[in-house]
Amino acid sequence: MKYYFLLQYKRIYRSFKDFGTEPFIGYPIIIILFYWMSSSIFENILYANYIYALISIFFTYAIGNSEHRRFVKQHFSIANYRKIIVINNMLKVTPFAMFLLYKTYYIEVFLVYGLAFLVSLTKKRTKVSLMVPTPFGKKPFEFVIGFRKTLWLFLLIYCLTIIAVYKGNFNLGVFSLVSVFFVCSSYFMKPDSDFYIWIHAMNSREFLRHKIGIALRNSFVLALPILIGLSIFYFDQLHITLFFLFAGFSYMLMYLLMKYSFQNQGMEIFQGIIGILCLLFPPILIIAIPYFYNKTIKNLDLLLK
Amino acid sequence: MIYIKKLYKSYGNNKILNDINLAFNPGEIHGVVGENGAGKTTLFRAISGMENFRGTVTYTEGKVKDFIGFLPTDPYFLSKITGKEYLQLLCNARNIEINNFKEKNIFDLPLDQYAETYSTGMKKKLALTGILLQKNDVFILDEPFNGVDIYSNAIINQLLVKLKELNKIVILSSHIFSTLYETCDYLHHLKNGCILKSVDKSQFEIIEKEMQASGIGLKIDKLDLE
Repeated sequence: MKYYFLLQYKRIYRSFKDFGTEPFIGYPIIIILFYWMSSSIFENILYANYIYALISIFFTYAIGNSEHRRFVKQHFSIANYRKIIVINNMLKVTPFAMFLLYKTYYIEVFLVYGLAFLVSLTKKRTKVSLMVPTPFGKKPFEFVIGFRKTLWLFLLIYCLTIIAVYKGNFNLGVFSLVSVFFVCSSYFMKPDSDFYIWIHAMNSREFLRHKIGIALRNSFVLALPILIGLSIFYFDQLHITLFFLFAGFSYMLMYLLMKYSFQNQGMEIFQGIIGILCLLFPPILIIAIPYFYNKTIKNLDLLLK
Repeated sequence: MIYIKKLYKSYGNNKILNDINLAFNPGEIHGVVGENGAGKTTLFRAISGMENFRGTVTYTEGKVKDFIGFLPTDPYFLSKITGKEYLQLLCNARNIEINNFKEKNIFDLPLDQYAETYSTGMKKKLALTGILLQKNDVFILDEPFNGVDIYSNAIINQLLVKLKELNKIVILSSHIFSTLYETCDYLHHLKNGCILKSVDKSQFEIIEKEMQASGIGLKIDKLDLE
């Protein structure tokens, strides 16, 4: 068991090396960024202590890999398997717990560890065979997969739009519009297998144009019910709606470019950090989009030249 | 025709492929054999353009990657994609329009189910169907018979005959010599990243014997099995 955790440490160490950063530089950067993001949450959000605790649990659940868990179960005794899963989850929430401790939210610290323990007892479902129909079947890829995984979120978002219209709350309507692009951007968080890029009889620029076209068109389709609702019931604020539509497109474009910039480099964590930075400082997009476009073209050339 | 000239591939100091020189003509089926780790998959990925390498791979008809159908040993499927959507995706990638996938479903796969739920053999058959529908001119099949049932193996054998008739270039690997005897015109023995020997059908037996005589008994003895 000791060797298992030593290997986990080595894997983290190697991911810094793969990124081209010495770990002794990378660790402090990660800690500073984590502190800064956590502080931002507490400064800007109401009931941040509860939301922060929930984020930590969501994080633990989201990065839990069922294949990895199956591997551990297969090769360790049941007692050690349980210990490993619990310790893994405890370690994942520890940075969050430390920050809550620093903020003197002692009860929430217990809550976070308690929930992490409960998450250890749950099983992450992997293969579901119920086929969910989608409107994107003619161009199957990110949007087919993503739509099936996040269908429940869309039902929630459209309900929010109805409430926004019914209660006369334009801000809530804008929030639902932004949420559509937030969810669609999440479809570009994982790198593709080389094979699914290589199969295209296109060069890098054509491939990227093809991908951007699909992303903009499909996200527009998903945002359309909200756009129609807001345009009819809040016509005088149409310029604000269009501004957020444009912002949504820009963010999604940014995440799409980032996905292919980091393709084959195994740096999802760093991709996430840059993504959050862009969310917190939107002007970064002006530099980031052209930068990642060029980086993407170079990276895709390795497979599509 | 595909020419491979002075192909080298290494990861750091680890040499994977060393001075590979081969030529593949239309209407020929070439088998590549070798132990696990000999470099077969890397060679296939290099020919396909999925790996960087030193040397040249020339295809006389154009940009080789746009004409190759590549069947990996263990095809990877995206989650929440049905069999039909997978085929659609592969056809879209090559601008091929097919309206009735059910008609093309020669392996009777459950195309409306998620591909990730398929068994190993079904996944291989789906991947193979995909590259056949792409109407490729070159086929690289990395262990196409592995994990596939006997009936489907017979279909694959017939498919290879058909591809040969259609003047396609087929390059495949297999660890089962009987399948190579049945299908291949030429065999290339890859060892430690080098082509040790290339032979035609009349000399397949030489390679088979060479591979079998590589001290298997002595290796097993090292385990000290009791």
